[in-house]
Amino acid sequence: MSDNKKKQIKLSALDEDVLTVLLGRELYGLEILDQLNLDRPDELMFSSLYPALNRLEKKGFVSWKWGDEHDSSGGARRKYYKVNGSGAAALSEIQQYRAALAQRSAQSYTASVGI
Amino acid sequence: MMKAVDNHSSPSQIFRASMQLAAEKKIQKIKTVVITEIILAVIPKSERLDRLKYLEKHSQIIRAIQEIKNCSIWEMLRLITLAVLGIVFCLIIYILIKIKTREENFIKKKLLSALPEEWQADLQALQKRWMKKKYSSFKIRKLTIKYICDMYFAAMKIKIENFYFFNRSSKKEID
Repeated sequence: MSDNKKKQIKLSALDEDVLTVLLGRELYGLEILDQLNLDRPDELMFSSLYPALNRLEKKGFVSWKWGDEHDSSGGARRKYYKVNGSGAAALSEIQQYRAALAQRSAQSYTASVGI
Repeated sequence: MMKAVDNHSSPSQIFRASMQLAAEKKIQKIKTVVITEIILAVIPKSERLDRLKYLEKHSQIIRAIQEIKNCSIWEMLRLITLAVLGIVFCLIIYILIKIKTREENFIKKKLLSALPEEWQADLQALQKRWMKKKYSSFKIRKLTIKYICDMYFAAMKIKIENFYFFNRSSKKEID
């Protein structure tokens, strides 16, 4: 439980969302934001995404590489993020923890109702 | 003017008097109007046709017509001058707007250059998207400023987080 609690503190809801979006693919900032905003009731902005990416990067959950595409207008390079092994493991752990939490609460609810 | 001309005055006298008035007032348009009015007022109705026919043959009428022509040329010149002034005015406004836009772009470029490269790339991608959606330049400018402010807010958040949670120089991280 205490270990799960630690993981919960390590990853915020947004961090978890970002890791989920990045799992198994490489995306750059705007693409991540688009994916996050697809079914989101309140629009997420860069001011939330970039700090989240920074946190994940600092924790070693995501890695990045510069994009290969060359913009004809001489534009800036894109940074493509992907989930590391440790990031995937952390995500899996927190998902397991949430699943267990949901299962426990469902069991206790069933017991209290007396079904 | 009207005192100098009476019913017995000849057309040439009438014309001279009217020309004098026009010269005094220096208004070309009034010249022709006054001439016509005086001729019509002084000459009795029964004689008007004959007199006018006579006047038509008279050389002074030709001069009067020339005067009218000159008058229209002056009028045109005045209009051309006004049009030129208008164009110059529009050009000045256009140049001022251009300078202002250039200054704005310069500020935007300065602000953008302080942000990380990948963030700039994201903003450029967003701008391309807005252009595809055929947003007006004003709206694009407004949204760009909004997103630049948002990115600065993000940079500030990262600096604070790095300082408190990761205990590292935030400047190094953002750069």
